[in-house]
Amino acid sequence: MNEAEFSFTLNDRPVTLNTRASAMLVDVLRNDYGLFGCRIGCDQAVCGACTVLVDGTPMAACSTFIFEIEGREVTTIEATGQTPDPVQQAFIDARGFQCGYCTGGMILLTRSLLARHPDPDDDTIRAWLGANVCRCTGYSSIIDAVKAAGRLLRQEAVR
Amino acid sequence: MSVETLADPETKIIPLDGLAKVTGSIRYAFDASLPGMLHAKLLRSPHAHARIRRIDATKALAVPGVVCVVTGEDAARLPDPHHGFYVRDQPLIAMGKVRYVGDPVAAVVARDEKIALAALSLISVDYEPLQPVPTIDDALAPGAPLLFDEPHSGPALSVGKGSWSINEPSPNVLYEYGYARGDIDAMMAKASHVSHDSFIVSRINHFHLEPYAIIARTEGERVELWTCNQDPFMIRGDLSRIFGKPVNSICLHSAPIGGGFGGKSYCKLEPLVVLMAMKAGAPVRLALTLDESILTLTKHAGVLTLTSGIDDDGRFLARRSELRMDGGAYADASVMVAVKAGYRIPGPYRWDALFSRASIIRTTAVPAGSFRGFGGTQVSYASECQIDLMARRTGLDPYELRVRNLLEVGEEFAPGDSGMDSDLRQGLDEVCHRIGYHQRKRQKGRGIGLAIGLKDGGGTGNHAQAIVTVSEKGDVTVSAGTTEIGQGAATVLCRIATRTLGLPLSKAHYASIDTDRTPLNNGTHVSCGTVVTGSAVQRAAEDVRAQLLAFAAEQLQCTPEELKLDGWAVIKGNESFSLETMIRSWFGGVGYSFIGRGGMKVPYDPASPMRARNLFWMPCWSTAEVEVDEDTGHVRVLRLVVGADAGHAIDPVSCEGQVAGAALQAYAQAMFEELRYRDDAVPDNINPRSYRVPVAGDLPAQFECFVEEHGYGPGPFGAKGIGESGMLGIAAAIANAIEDAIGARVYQMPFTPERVLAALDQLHSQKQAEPAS
Amino acid sequence: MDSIEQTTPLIGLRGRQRIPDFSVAYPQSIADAVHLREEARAVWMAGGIDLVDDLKQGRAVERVVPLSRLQDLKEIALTPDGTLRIGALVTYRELSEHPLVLDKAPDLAKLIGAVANIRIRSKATVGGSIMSRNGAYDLMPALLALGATLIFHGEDGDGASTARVAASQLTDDEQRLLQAVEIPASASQLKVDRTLRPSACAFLGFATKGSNGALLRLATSCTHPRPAVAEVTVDAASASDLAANAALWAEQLVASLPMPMSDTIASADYRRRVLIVLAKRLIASATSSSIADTDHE
Repeated sequence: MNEAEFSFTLNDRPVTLNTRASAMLVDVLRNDYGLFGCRIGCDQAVCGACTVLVDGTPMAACSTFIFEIEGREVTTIEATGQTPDPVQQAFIDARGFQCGYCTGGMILLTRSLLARHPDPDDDTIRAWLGANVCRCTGYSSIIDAVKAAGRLLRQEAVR
Repeated sequence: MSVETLADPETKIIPLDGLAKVTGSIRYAFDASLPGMLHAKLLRSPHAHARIRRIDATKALAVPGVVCVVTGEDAARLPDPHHGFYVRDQPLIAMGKVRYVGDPVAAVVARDEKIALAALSLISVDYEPLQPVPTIDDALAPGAPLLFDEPHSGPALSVGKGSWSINEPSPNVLYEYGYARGDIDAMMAKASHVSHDSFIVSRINHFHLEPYAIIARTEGERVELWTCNQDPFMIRGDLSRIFGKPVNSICLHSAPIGGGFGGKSYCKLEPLVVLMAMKAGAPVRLALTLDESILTLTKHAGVLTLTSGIDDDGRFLARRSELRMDGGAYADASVMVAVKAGYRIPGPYRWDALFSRASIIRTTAVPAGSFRGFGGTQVSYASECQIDLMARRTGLDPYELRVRNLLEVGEEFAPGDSGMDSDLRQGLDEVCHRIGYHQRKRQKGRGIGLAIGLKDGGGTGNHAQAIVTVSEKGDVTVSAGTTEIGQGAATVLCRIATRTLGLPLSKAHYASIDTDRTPLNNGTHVSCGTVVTGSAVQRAAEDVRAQLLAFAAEQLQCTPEELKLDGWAVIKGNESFSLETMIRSWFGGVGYSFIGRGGMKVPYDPASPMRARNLFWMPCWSTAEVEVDEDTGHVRVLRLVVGADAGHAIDPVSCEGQVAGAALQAYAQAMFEELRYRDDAVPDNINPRSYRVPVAGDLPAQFECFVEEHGYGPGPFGAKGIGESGMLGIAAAIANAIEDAIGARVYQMPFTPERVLAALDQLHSQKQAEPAS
Repeated sequence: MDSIEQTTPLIGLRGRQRIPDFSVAYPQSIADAVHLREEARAVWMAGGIDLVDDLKQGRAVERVVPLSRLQDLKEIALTPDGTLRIGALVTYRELSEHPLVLDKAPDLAKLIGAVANIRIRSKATVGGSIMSRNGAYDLMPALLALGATLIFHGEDGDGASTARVAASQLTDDEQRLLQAVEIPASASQLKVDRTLRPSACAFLGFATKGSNGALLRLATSCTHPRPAVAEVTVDAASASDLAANAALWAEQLVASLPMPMSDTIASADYRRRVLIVLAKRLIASATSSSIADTDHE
C-alpha cells in the first residue's frame, strides 16, 4: 500500500490525512471530509463540476492527486458556510443556476476570476467561464451573476 | 379565452432552493448512501450485435470483496423482465443477445467500485458476433438482420380520430404512428407549387452533469430506491410489474435532480439495481460514468421527408410526411416520440389535407427516447426549413408565407383538438422587430432566417394530485410528484399555493418526494408541471382556503362569506383576527395542520386525434443572423433571438432561463454537438473530451431570449408550460439564415463547415449547368 | 503507452476508480528523475493532464515521478544570442503571461493564452503537451511553425549533457526527458487561424533570413494524427510582397504535408481544401505588423 501523510489547508483549516498517494482530491474531499459540494460530473476535467480553488487557482478535483495538494491551500464551496458571500448572493439575485449541479464550481471559478479581473469585460467573462459546463442555463444568467458579483465586490472594496 | 390575472404582489421570486444550491449544501441522488451499501459496475457489450453464448464469471466471483454477479440468467427468472413504453423490448440486462455497443451484459456487486471494476475485467463473455444494423437504410434493406426474432405482445398505444397506431408493423420497425385528414391527393393536385424535400436530424445526448445514480434496498417484502429518475411513479409501476409485487411494497425516493432533459425519464436501470440488491441481500448503489450515460439514451436522429403543396396565394393545402426516426436498439419512449412527431409536423399552420406517418426504425445503436422537445424539435426543423424553401421557390417572403397560414387564436390545431392559445403573429412580429428583419439590407455572406417551432404541451389525458398542508403558524408544505430537475418546479408550485392563500413564498416548502407519501404524478415531462401539477396544487390550496374560512367562521360565529383572508389572519368587518390564536385556542396540543387535497385530470376524448384534447400549445419564435465564410463553409451565428409564451409567467426569471437553456441545447445540436457513429455501428465520441457540449464562449455574440404572456394558458393564473419551448425553432432559423446568406440549403444537422461548403459547391455547379438567361 | 492486460474491454468505464495504487517518488534533480523512471512502469508527471486521462482508462503504472519541484525545468530565459528558452514544466498560463514571452514571442503568448480554458492552462505544461504527441493540441504546431528546437536530457551519467532535436524531428519513440524548448530569435511572426477547430487549424511561421529571403512554415493541428509541418523558402523579392503569391505558397505548403486524415469530424479532402484557404490568408496577412488572430475560441 502506498500510503503517506499529506498536510494541506482546507477551507482555512490546517489538516493532515493519511491516505494513498494516488487518491483523487475529489474523493478525499467527499469521502474523508464530507464536502459534497465538490461534485462528480464528467470525471475527465471537462465539465468543472468538481472545481475547487488551490492557492486561488481553479482546479479539477477529479483529476488532481492528493500528493499534488501537499502544503497548498484548498478552498471548496463550503468555505463560506451557510451565509452567502457577495458572489453567492449575486448568483441568487441573478438566478445564475437551475439544477445547481455546476453551481459550486461556477461560484469558485467566479471568485478566482474576480480576484484576477475585478471588472471583467464580456469577452473575459466568457473566456473564463469556458472552464465550466452548464447544461441548464444557457449561460446568460451566469454571466449576469458574474457581473453582479463584480459590482458587489467592488462596492465592498471601496467601503 | 383570455383570463384576467392579478399581478403577483411579490415582485421578485426568490427560489426556495437557491441558498442550498449556492452553498453546495443541496444533495442529489448521486450523493446518497446507506449503511452497508455495496457498489455495482456494469460490463457492456463491445459488439453492436451479437448472441451471447456463455458468460463465465468464475474468476470475477473469486475476487475478494465481490459479493455477486448478475446476468440475464437472473433476470429471466422474474415475472416480466422487460420494460419500454408500450413496446416492452428492453431487458433489465442482456438476455441471450446484445444489440448495441454499450448494451449491459453483466453486473458485478462488490464492496467498492474499484473491486467491482477489477472483477468486471475478469468476466469472460463468449459472443457470436452478428451483422450490425448501423443505419435506417440498413435496417429496412431486404434481408436485413433482425434485432428481434419475434414481435412483442401487448396493445398499441390508443389514439383518437384520424390517427392510427401500430406496434411492430414490420421487422426492424418498432412502431408506426399516422394521422390523416382531408383528401390528400385532391389537394395536392390543386397545388400550384409542390415541394419535396428530405431533412436529416442528428443524434445528441442529454449530457446532464449529474450522472445516473440509483440505490436499491430490500427489507423483507419491501423494496426501496433512491433515484434521480424524473418519473418515480412510473418506475414504481414498472417495478411492480417486473417483480410481481404490489405497488405499496415499493417506495422510490426522488432527490433533487442534477439535470434531466428527458434523459432520466422512463424506466432505465432501476429494475436491474433492485435485482442486484435482492441477490446481494444488501443495499446496492449503481452510479454511471458520463460515458455510460451517453451509452444509455439519445435523442432520435432520422430522415424527415416532406411533400407539401401550396396554392397561388401561398396558402398551405396539403402535406405528406414520411418521418423515419432512428430508435436505436430498444424502444424506451420511442412510441410516444413517434406519435408526437407525426402529429406535430404540420406546425402552427392551417392545412386542408394531411397524411403523416412517423416510424421508429430499429438499429444497433444506443436506444433513443425522450429528449426535451420530444419529436417536436425534429419536425419543427423539417417543417420550418421547407416553408422557407417553398417561399424562395415561389418568390414569396418567408415572413409573408408564414403569416398567410398561421393559426389564429382559438383556431383548432386539428379537428377535435384544442385551439391555438398563443398569438402566433405577435410573437413572430416580436422576433422580426428585435432582429430588424424587415429593414435588413442585403450583405454578401450574411443572412437572416425565421422559424416558428411548435409542440403541444401538458400531455395526453394527463392528471395529477397534490396535497397542501398549512400549520397553525401559516407554514405551507406543498406535496406533489413533479420532480425538481432545475426547471424551478418546487418554487413555482409553492408560489401557486402561496398566491392562492395570500401568503409570501418564503412561508412555503416543497416536500421531498417519495412514492409512499407524495400524491401520484404521471411524470416530469411534456412541460406539464406548471399546468397539470400546478392546477392540482392550486385546487389543494383552494381547499385549504375553504377549510380556513370555514374554521374561522365557526370560531367567529359567522358565515365564511363574511370573512376575508388577509395574510395569516381573517378580517371580519373592520376587525382582524389572528388565525394562529384561534387555531391554538381551539386545538391546543402540539399544533395543527390544515390538509388540502386537489387534483386535475384532462378527460380522454376519442374525437380528438391524440385521444385527448391538448392542454396547451408551445410556439417557439426564433430568428438568427449568420455570417458564412464562403471559402471554408464556416458559419458564425451573429445573433440569435428566441421567444416563447408562458401564458402568465409565475416565475418570469425561471421562464427565461428555461428558454435560454433549451435554445442553447438546440443551437449546439444545429452547429456541432453530435454523438457520432462510425460505419460499423461503433460510437466514436462517448467520452466528455470528445463529446463537445457548448460552453459560454460558444454563445452567439448576441443571444436574446424573451418570454411573452399572452394570457391564454389553462394553468393557474393563465400559465402554460415553457420548459421545452426553447428547443423548437432554433435549428431551422439558422438553416434558413444560411440559405438567406449563400443561396444554398444545408439539409443535414449539424451544419458543419464541410456540409455548408458542399452545399455551396452544389449550388455553383448547378448554376454552371444552367443556361444563361 | 502500455495497454492493460484484460480479458474484456471495459466499455464506458473510464474513471478514477481504475487508477492503480502507485507510489510517488519526487526526484532531487533531473538526473534523478531519469533514474527513477528507468524502472518498469514508472512515468514522469508534468501537469498530469494526459497522464491522469490515461490512468483513468486503465493504464498500468507502478510509480509516478512528478517533475513539478525541479526548478530548472520552470525557467523562462533569453540566451545571449536572443533565443527564447522555455522550460518544459512551464505551464500554459505562465507562458502566456510571462514578460519575456510577451516581449519576444507575443503571437505565441496570445495563442497559448486562448487555448482550452483557464483551469487547463494553469496545469498543462509545455513539455507535457509536446510529449503527448496529440495531433489536436495547439502548442506543438506553433513550435513547428516557429522552427523551435527541443532540448532533451542527454545520455551521459552525470546529467550535464543535453541533446538538441528540431521540433520537426521528434520521434514517437523518444524516451529522453524534455527539459526545454528554444525558439530562435529569427522566428519573428506566428499567425494562427483556429476558427475551424476541430476540423483544421493552421499555424504559419514566418522567419526572415535577411538577404536570403524568408522561410515560411505551415503547421497544422486537428488534421493529422501527429502535428504536421511543411516549409518553403521564399526569395527576398517575394518576401517583401507575400500577398501577391499567397495562393501559390499555400498550395505548395499544403501539398508538402502528408494527406490529412478522414474521420467522423471531417474528410481528408475538406481538410486539405481549407488548409489551403487558411494558409493563403495567413500568408497574405503575414507582413502586416498588427496581429489579427481570427480565433473565436
